[in-house]
Amino acid sequence: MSGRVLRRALRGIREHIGFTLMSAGVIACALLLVGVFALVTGQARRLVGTWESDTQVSAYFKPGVPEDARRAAAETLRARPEVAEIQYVDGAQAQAWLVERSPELAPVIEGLGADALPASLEVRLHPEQVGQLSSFVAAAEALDLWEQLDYGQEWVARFRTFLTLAGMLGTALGLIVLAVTVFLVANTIHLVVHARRDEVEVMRLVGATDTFIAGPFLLEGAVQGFLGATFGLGALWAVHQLVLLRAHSLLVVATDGGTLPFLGVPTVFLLLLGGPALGVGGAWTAVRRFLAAIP
Amino acid sequence: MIRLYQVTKTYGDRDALREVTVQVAKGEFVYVTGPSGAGKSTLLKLLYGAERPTAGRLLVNGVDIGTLGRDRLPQLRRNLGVVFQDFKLLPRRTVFDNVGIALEVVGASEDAIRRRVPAVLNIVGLRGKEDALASELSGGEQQRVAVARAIVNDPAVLLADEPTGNLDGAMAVEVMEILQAVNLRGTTVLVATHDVGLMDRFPFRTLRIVDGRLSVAPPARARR
Repeated sequence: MSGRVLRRALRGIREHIGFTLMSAGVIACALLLVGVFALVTGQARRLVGTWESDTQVSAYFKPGVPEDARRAAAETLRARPEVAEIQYVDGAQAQAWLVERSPELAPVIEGLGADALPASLEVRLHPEQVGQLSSFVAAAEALDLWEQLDYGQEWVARFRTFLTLAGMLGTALGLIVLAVTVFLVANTIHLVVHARRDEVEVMRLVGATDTFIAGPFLLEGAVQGFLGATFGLGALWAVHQLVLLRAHSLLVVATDGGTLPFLGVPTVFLLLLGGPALGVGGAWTAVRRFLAAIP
Repeated sequence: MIRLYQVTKTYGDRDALREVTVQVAKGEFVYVTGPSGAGKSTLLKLLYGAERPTAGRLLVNGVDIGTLGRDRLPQLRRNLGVVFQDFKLLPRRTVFDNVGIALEVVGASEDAIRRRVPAVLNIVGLRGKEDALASELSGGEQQRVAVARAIVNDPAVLLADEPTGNLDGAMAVEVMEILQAVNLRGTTVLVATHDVGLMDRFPFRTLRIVDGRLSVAPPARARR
């Protein structure tokens, strides 16, 4: 029986190859959209993770804080569990570092004198303790020794919030894309079924059950979905390669060392399964609607 | 075999059939005649479950069509053969496929299909045409394929709606001879037609429908 279903499905695909490719194209576009979204959000999350795991705090001492008080503050903060590494940088070291980074400014900086730049503590937190950043900052502020505390995490937190919102928006968009895709696939397959109305009517007339009639259409939907998923992933891979080739300099700035990994195996697997699922879902919707209209 | 009690079928505010009561015995050959739009096709549609009666009871092979669930309709149709004026064949399929589809839906094996289809094509005089496309056949041949498809499962009842309407005289006679042969094998045959010539040539009980109402007419020869 399954051999006959397969044979009828293959005949349907052969006889209506245009519709088959149209359905596969719709599914491919939908999965390409989902794939691009997954690629972009995945990369954004990786970046945030990298930034967070590299959390640094620069604490600049007020002028006039004695050297022993600075050293004591360094020891106090070093004892905290969040701290992975702490380095005391006096004014001269800061000046030397700045000259090294910007040699063209050397005459100006050296002209300002040895005490022009404040001493500071450069603190690096344990990656697993980045969530405790605010409590570390509170503890540091309580020492009341600082001209300024720099920790570029506020915008990271904001960016993370933005990503969470984007993720929610993306999920909503994904659901809409899914609904639109099922609708489009269902309507495309409805056209396929309609083109074979005579065949369905004849089958109905000779006593075919809904399952008998729908079986090949569902199988065709699965094939269209698989083709769509393959086309969609192929297009996504091509887009990915194009971005790597043409926008590498941008990537160096926007990503961690210019890398943009492709989707992970589970996501690729999910998309490959998603295609046939969409195809079968669309076919079922179309065939059910069509069968209900034929007595 | 077929029983109708006070069957009415209404479309909107128009009665296509009005309080029709009739019985057709097992193995009988019956004509349903009347002018165009009288309700002949509606009666046949009710019999194969394409329409449901608005009122009354309608039994085919002991099955009450009015209360029959949609899921049980296929089972009813597997025991009915239906032939139409426009043949309702699949033009791009072969004669073999057109007939074989009725066996496929009942789950017949490939072997059974390969044996049964040529045998039935032999009955309707189309042996050797198995591989021809339906669209390549003449009208008479197409109608014979339709009859072959209708009888391939040995149905208890054969319904034919204007089966000779699209055929010329000789071809119409051929098709009627096949229907008569099917009837002689024990199948109850109900033919909707307004072809008086054919009814004269093949005289059987005639049910006349006018404006949805049934009157039993005498056999064609008795009317002369």
